[in-house]
Amino acid sequence: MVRTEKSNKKAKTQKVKLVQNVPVNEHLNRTYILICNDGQQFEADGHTIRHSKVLGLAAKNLEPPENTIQVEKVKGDTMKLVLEWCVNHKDDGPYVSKVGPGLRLPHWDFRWLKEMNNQDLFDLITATNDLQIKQLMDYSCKTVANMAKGKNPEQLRQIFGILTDEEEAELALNEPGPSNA
Amino acid sequence: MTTDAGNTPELASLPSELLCQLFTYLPNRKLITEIPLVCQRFNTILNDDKFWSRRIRTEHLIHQPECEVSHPDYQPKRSFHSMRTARSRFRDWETQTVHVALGHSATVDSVLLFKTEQQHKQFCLSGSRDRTIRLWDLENVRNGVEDTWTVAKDETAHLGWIWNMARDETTGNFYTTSWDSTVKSWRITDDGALQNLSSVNVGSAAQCVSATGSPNELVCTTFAKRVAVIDDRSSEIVAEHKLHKRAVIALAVDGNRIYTSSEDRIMMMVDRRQMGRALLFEYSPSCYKSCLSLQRDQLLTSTSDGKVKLYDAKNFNVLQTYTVGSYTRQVQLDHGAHLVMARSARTRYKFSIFSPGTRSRQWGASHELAAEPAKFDYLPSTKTLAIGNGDSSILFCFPPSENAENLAENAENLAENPAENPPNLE
Repeated sequence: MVRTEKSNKKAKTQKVKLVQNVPVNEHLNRTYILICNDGQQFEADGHTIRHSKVLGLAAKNLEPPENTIQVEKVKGDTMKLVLEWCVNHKDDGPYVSKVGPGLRLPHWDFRWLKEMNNQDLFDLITATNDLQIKQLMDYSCKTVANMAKGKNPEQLRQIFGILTDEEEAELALNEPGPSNA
Repeated sequence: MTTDAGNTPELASLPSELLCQLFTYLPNRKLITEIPLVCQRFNTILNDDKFWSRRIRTEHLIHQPECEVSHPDYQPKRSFHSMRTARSRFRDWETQTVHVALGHSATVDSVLLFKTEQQHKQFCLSGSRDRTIRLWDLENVRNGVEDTWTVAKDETAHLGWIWNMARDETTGNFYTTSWDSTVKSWRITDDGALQNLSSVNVGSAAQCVSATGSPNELVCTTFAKRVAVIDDRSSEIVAEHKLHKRAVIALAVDGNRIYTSSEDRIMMMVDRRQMGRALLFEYSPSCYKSCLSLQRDQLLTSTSDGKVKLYDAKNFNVLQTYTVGSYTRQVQLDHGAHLVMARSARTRYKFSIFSPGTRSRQWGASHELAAEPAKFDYLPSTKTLAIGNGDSSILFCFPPSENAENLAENAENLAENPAENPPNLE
């Protein structure tokens, strides 16, 4: 290969790129302390929390030796569940979202989400939305959709604790308000 | 999934955006029929146009043109459903049930699919260069012996090639045009025979015909540059124009607007009440439009140089152009998809489906068709496709059977939860 001016320049720019990559991902190797809104604290390392866009960005912006992240929107129990999932998916590759009924869940996730009771599941969905974890969001929504499959409206109301319009109207009547006070 | 009495979990406590996200995972049919019945909030979300418009944009990546979105009859929910149906219908050409119907003895130049209101039965009318018309019962085609497929035929329908057919939805009558310069109207009698009601001579070979737009009036075009409006009751020509310079080969009608295109590379629109002047006019220097298909305010055209062009029907603005081959024979604009029949450079025809809107992507295509097709027709409500061929056969393509779809879904479920469900295909 002939070494010309052009190829030398290319080699130089490539070299410079490599050097720049290292500091950017360094934060993944550090440990962080996550403080939830009810005071509970959890320890997690960068790889675990990288799934969450919000936590990942927060971690990036932290200068060492600072390592606490305040997570005001999520309460402790839910955070525990989120971290449990994150730890399990620590080593996953990049995720391609597949919206719609065709999505398939991996075995661990499927079982784990199925074992959860409804209230935890809904809290989990709200937390995932706040923390922006696309993959867990897709999986948990798919689980709820599976629960709703094949059920008529009455059964859906029972499973999900939704009141019929008449019951809601009754509740509204009994609640203190301008007309009742 | 236990729910204790004092602490029922509430799905309703989730914010609306999350509910929308959840809804995208449910099968579409349920979202339209059952879920809105659960509670008022779900109902409001599911009837909100924005919910469906967003889904059209993000899930199908379709960008609807302005003329479609601002049309008073546009309903995002319906369009989303049509798109979903069209997409899954044509995703895989090979899984269709295809029947080859023989019977004619020359090129079948026109096919017309329709469904009867009362009995919900599907039929197909075909007109051919062998001067006969045949009525096919599609239930028999799917399930019966070949002898029972044709339920009626008229051997001496015309004295020349039969070019096109059209049907009037309200009366059930159908009309045929032919090389023998006549436009004939027909009725299917109660005992299943074809009865000729009247015949109008239009002076030269009659090409296209359309029965939509105005009750009791037909529009027809001829090879002698004529576009005529015929009154069905008196069998007389009530209005006409000769604004084209060559044979008028394509026609689309919506209400009072008549769109025509000719081999003189001009496409124009006139109002049937004042045929003397063209309200819209387009001259193309290089190619002519071989077919026009009109839906609401979108006009989809096929060009002789292998392209498909989408126009705004109100002002002939070009919304989109894409190339499909070397000669595009026919297009059909359905709310859910663009159906295109085109010849590729290697002289073989292919039927392909593109997504609707202004940034169409190909959703599916057939393999190269063995026989040269003359015309196709697609009925969205029954998802049946009929293609009339040059070798006198007709291809009836039915969607993959319901059983096949259910089996596929069950297999998916089994893969997801192996330990839970005993292998039990219902």
